[in-house]
Amino acid sequence: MADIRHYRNGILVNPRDFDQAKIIMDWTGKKEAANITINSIKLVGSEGAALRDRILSGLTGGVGFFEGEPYRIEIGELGNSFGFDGYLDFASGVDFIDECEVECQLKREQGTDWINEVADGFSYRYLESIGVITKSDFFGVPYVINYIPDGVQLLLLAISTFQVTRETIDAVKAVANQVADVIDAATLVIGVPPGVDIGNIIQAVLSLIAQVAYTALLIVALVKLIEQIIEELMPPKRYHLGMPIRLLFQRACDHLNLNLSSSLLDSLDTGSNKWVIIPSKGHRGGEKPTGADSSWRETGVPSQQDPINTFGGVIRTFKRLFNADFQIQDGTFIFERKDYFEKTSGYVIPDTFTNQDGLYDVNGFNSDEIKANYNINWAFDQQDLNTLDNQVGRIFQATLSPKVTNNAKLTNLTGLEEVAIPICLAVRKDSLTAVEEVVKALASALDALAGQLGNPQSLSGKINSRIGAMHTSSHFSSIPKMVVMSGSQLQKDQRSIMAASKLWDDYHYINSFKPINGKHNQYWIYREQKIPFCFEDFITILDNNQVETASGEIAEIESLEWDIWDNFATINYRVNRLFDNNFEITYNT
Amino acid sequence: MIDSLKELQNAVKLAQQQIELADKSVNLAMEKLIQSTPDDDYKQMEQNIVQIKDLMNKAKQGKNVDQDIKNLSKQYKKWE
Repeated sequence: MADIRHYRNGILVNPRDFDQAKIIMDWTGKKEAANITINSIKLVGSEGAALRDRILSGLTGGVGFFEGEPYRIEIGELGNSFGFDGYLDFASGVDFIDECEVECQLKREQGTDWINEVADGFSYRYLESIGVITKSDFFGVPYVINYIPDGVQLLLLAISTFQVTRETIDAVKAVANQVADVIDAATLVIGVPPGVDIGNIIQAVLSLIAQVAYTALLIVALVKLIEQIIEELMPPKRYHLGMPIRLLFQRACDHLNLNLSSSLLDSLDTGSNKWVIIPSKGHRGGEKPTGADSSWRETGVPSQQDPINTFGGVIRTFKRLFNADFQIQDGTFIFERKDYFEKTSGYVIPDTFTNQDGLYDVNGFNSDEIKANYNINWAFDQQDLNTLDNQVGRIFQATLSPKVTNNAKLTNLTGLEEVAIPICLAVRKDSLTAVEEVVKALASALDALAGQLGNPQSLSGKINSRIGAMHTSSHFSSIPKMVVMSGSQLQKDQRSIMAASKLWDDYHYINSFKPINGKHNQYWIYREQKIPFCFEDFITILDNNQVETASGEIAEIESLEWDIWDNFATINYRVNRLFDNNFEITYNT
Repeated sequence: MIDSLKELQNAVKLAQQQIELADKSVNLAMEKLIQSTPDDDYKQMEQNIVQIKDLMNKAKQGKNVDQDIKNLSKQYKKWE
C-alpha cells in the first residue's frame, strides 16, 4: 500500500474508510477525459465540523453549497509524489452524519463531469447579457427572399410601365424632330452669298434644349419606377445575424477560463471558408418582431429552442457533425476528430491472462457495433421551402455489403448509424431569375442613360448584389442554418463544401468497418482483465486511454476499476485489429 | 410584364441614342454659328455659345430651363 495524503483546500485531512474506496474511470462512448468518480470521501471530527461550516457558509456570506471545495490526493513519499486534483461536489449530494461527520463525492476538476454539468449550465444568451459576447462577434449573413409576385401590384406596375414606355417613345420622337430642325436650320441656304439663318439656328437649338429637359425629367420618373419595380419584384437584401462556429467555442471557453485548441475548428474559420451558423429566427432581418418592446435587440446568439443553445449543446452537436471529441488538458479545451486522441499514453497493459483461474485468454469482437448503413443527413426547415427544394449535399449513405457470398439468405450485415444533423444547409443565390435578368438589362440601359444625362445611377448594381446572398423563402426559420462565408458573401460552391458526402470523406470514414485510407473500426475486445495497478499508472492514463498491449499493439481502455488499497485494477479494453475484410462499400447521395 | 419591361428597355435605348444625336446636332449648329458670325460679333457669339452649352447640360439633368430659354430667346432677337 502506497503512502496516501489528502488535502482539503491545502489542509491535510484524514478521511475515514478511504481504504475501501474505489476509483472508477469510464471512457465508454467517448474519447474525452474519463469520468472519474471516487464515490465517497468521509471527514469526521474537527475536519468534518470544518467542512460542515464550509458547506453552509452561503448563509453567512461565504461561497456555500454550489461551489466545489478543492481537494488533492497525493500518493508517494513527500517530495516524490503524484497528485490528483479534484473537488468535493456538494451539489450532487452531501450527507451530514451526526454532529461532525460529512460524506460527499469527489470529482475531477475540469473533467468530463465538470464539462457536462457546467457547459450545460449557461446559454449563449446569458454570455451576451454579461458582455462575454458582443455585437462585434456577430456575422451579418445577407439574404434575399424568393420572388413572390403580387398580382395587383404587378398589374399596376405593368400599366405604369406601359404609360412610361409610351411617354418615352413620344419624347424620343420629339427629340428626333427637334434634332432634324436644328440640322435643317444649320444647313447652308443657297443664295448669294450662301449662308445660314443665325436666329433660326438659335431658336431650333433652344427648342431642342427644352425637349431634352422634358426627356430628362421623364428619365428621372423612369428611375423611380424601376426602383419601385426592383422593390416589388425583388424584395431588398437583408441580413440575419449569426456566429462563426469557432467563435461559439471560443466565447464559451473564454467564459470558462479555458484556452481553445482545435485545428478542426481553425480550418473552418478562414477568410474564404468561414462556417457561420444562423440561429433560428422569429423576425425579419433588421426589424424587431411584432409586439417586441423597445429593449429588443437583434442578436446572432443561438435561440432558446436551438440544440446549440448551451455550450454543452454546441459540443454535442459538433462532436456528432464532425465525428469529433474533446479533452481538457492543463486548462486547454481540445476539440479534434476522434482519432486525433489516439496517441498512446505510454502505458503498457501488463501481460496477464484474462481468465486467471484457468490461465488462458478470452476475447470477443465488436461485431455488434457494425453499421451496414451509415447515413449522414442535414435537416431541412419547414419554414424555408428552398431547403426542401434544393437537396444537393443534404444526404449521404455508405452501405456495406459482402464481397463474397455463399448463401445470401444467411448474410447478416445489419445496423444503421444515423448522423442526424439538427441544422439545415442554406441555399445560395447563384444567378438571377428571368424577371431579374430583364429588370437588370433595363436597369443597365437606364444607368447608361442617366449617366449620359449627368445623373449617374447604380440600379443594376442593386440587382447584381443579390447574387451571393442566401436564398430563402421566408424571413423566419425554425431550425439553425449553416452557411460558409467568403468575405461578405456566401461561398460559391458551399453545398459541396458542406455536403454530407464531404463530411464522410473528411470526418466519418474512420467509422467504417471496411478499411479506408488505413483506418477501420474493427476491434478485438478484452474484458475483466485483472492487472497490477498503482497511482503512477493512474496518472499516466488520466488524460489518455490510448495504451499499448505487451505485444506493442495500440489498445483503448474502455473502463477501469482501481482498488487503491490493494494496488490492482480490473480493466476492459479493445484493440484496433481486423477480424474481417469481406466488405464492399457503396455510396449514395 | 416581361414584354413590357423589354419594350421599355428598347425605348430607353432609343432615348439614349437621340440624346447623343441631340448633343451632336447642337455642337454642329454651334460650329455653324461661329462660322457665320461677322468678325465684329465674334466675341459675343462665343459667350452665347457657352451659355447655350451650359443650358444644354442643365436640361440634361432634368432641371427647369423654361426661364433660361425665354431670356436667351430675347437676347438673341438681334440675330433674327
